Amino acid sequence: MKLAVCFKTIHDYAMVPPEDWQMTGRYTADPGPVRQVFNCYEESALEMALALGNSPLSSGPASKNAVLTDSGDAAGPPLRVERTALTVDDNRADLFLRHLIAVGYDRAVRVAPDRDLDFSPRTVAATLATWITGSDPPDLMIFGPRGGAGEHCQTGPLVAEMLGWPCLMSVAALAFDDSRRLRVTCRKDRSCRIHVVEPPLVLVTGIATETNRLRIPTLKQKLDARNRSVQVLSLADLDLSRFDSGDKASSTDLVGVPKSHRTCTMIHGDSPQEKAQVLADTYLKPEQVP
Amino acid sequence: MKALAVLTGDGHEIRSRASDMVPLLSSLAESLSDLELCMIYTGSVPDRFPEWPMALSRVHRIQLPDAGVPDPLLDFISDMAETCPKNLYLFDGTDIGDCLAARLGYRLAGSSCLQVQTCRMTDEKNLTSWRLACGGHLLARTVLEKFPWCLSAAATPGTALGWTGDSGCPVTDHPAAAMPVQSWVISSVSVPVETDSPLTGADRILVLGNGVGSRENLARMNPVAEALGAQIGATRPVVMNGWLPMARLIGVSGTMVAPSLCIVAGASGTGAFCAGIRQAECIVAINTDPDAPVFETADVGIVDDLVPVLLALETLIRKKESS
Repeated sequence: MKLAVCFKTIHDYAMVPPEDWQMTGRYTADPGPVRQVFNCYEESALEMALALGNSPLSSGPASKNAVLTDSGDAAGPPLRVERTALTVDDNRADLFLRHLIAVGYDRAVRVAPDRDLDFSPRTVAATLATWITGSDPPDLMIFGPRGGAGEHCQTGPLVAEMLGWPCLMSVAALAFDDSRRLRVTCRKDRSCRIHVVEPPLVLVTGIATETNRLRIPTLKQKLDARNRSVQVLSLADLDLSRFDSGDKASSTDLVGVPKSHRTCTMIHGDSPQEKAQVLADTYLKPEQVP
Repeated sequence: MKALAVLTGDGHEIRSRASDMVPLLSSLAESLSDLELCMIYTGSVPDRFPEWPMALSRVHRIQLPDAGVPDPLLDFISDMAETCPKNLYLFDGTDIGDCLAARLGYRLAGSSCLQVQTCRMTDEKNLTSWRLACGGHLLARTVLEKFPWCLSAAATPGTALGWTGDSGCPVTDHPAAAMPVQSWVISSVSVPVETDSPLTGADRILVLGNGVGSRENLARMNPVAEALGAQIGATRPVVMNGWLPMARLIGVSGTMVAPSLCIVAGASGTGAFCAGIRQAECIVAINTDPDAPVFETADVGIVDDLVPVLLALETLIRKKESS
């Protein structure tokens, strides 16, 4: 089985104090010298794919004939999984792609955009769909639910629509069943369903059921990864004409900071005990404490 | 303008999701000439309807053969769009609603915007919508220029719509037999999960963020929560670390809460999280970083390590109890 996980690094927005946005009056998805991080949902998707690749029924890079058998028979060679990490991003993503190669991804591909695509979901989806329909298409595409900084939440479903593939949402876990078929666990607040499915299909992750922080590579893995290259494509290398990448359907800009209706009163004190005392005396009225 | 509102989900959830959609439809009320409602279900036919504040011209009850597989529903709605086109398709903000809004917008050569908080007509041809972006720290404005507009409504805390046995309009049933078979699904089973979040309806909540540092520290917070009479909630990093179950997650991807007291300790305050506590009566934030965004959404702030502050608070409460 061949699978590809699509991700987009983002700035660590939690590190940007609100006044920084307000002071400049310039609202942009790129707040400047703030570290890049994996989007937590996509980090979960990337780890989920690694865990599937490491399952007892799978091993090593895949060949074309390693796709799931129709018979569902458990006999035969181990099911092999080939994992590709794919992003549409500038060269800041290369560091992350190397991390992914180090932890077990067989291939890392970056499509370099010719402009900022944070708010152009259809262009991103058309780019990915075009790559997918290339010479060595994957059986499974995995996405996080939100997309990059634009958080338009559309990339996975749009790719599914463009390819005519089915799409499952809120994917929490992946595994192969005893018959070597793909078992997808979809979990929401109040429901959980397990689907046994036949690829190709698009999966959009939700909240994982297992610990889903992306694994950290060892020093040896990092050194080995240095000898393997990230494949970089330009938009010109892909023929996007097959899909409607027309983001003329809508236009998006950032217009401000969500308003807070609260004013924070700070409690000061020389020790945690003093501060707790003020909190208890002033704000936790007796009737509020059981 | 003709519109179709699509509600997925069952039981209480469908009423909450309906209440998310009402503000968007209300803001477009002057332009709305016709509004139909689709209620999607998988079990028995729903015999009650959300009490919509605006008139409906028809309700469609659509049975989905397999919960969580939206593809046949997409085909069904796009077929409806061919025979009876609408200007606006509004979906609830569930994962299925998002999926349908994005795919239908592309399929019908229209435009889509998901997780919309507010919207209004800017002129006869354009609809402008606002939603959160960049980790919830910024507002994004999207102008949708191509019909039909396909939106999904962001979850908002608040009272779920009431139920009524009278739809007030004709009702059409579409049984699952009308849906195409999905040959790619070999089997599909439902697995029992915890049905009610302990956070739903909680009057006091102690939310722990990544600053709690370890599973051991988190365990030390249980007696604090007990003394406060509070439920423990968590931010996404805490759930991702496996320190607390998903049912404790607060935020747009977890539970939206509205307690009278919400103590947020060790959380930076991402927009996605803060959206989940926005309706709290009083928010107390504790963080070692004085510049943490969480203080922007709090009524009371303490800059300090959460562990000694909360343990001291527990001691004070216990003392009061014993005296």
